[in-house]
Amino acid sequence: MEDSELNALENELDRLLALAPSPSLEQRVARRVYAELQRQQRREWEAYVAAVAALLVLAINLSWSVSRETTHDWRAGESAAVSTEQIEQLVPGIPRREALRQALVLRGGRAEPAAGGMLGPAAAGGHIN
Amino acid sequence: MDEHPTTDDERRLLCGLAAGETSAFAELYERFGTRLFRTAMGLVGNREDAEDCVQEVFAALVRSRRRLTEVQDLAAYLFSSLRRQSARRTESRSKHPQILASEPAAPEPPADDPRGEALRQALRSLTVEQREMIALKVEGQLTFDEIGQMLNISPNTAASRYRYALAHLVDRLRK
Repeated sequence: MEDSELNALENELDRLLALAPSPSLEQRVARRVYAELQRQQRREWEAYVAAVAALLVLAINLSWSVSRETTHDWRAGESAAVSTEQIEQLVPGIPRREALRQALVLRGGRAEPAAGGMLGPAAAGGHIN
Repeated sequence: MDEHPTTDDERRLLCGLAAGETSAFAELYERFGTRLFRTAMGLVGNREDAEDCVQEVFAALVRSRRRLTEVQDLAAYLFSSLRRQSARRTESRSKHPQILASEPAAPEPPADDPRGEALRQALRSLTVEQREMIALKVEGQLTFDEIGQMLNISPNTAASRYRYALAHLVDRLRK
């Protein structure tokens, strides 16, 4: 098969297949592109709003948890000082530092329920009369 | 396989597309719209589907626009996308043949053009792969490098497949 024959056929095909798209295609493509861009921007905005909302919920939740776990005892310092003085009166000669330490230990222990308190005096080794 | 080097002009266009500039999409249509349509006509065989395929190529381009700056060969990228859209469309038509009756694989020539009619019949006798090769080369005006890149074959293989398809047409026309 000769090249000239193939070239002639190529030219024929060129002519036969040289179609033009309908004039409205350009506008349809432009509208489709615009709609797709709008949809994409809307999705991005929705994703952003969802992320911000999720962060807000998380922050509120964390803040609530922290506030629940925090003891708002504004007189904590005063109570420790009072306990220290009481210990000093009960045990004359105890160093101030040790009395303060004991007072803090007492305060710390108060936060947790004592074993006797939970199970009753019998479980703690006491006697019921 | 040699890759088509992206020119500064194409790089600028790709950046515009990636940024979502509508003027860049208009420029892209100006450059490739007709070639894409003709190729789609060769692949799907009817105007309505061919135009839908072109629209889908542009819609897909918008959806993947953030990755467009990585594209090495704009033409190969566009025509690869067109091939996928055409394949989907053809598959959909084969599942729902009632939607569209038998369509010509090539445009109807004028009634007084027996040679054109013969050529049209010959085009119909090609296999899908051969018709695709004609569509990419003649209607799409792609180079063998670009076709090779799209089909993942060497340019020489693309050229020989194309010649084989032309030879088949010549044979049919002689009969």
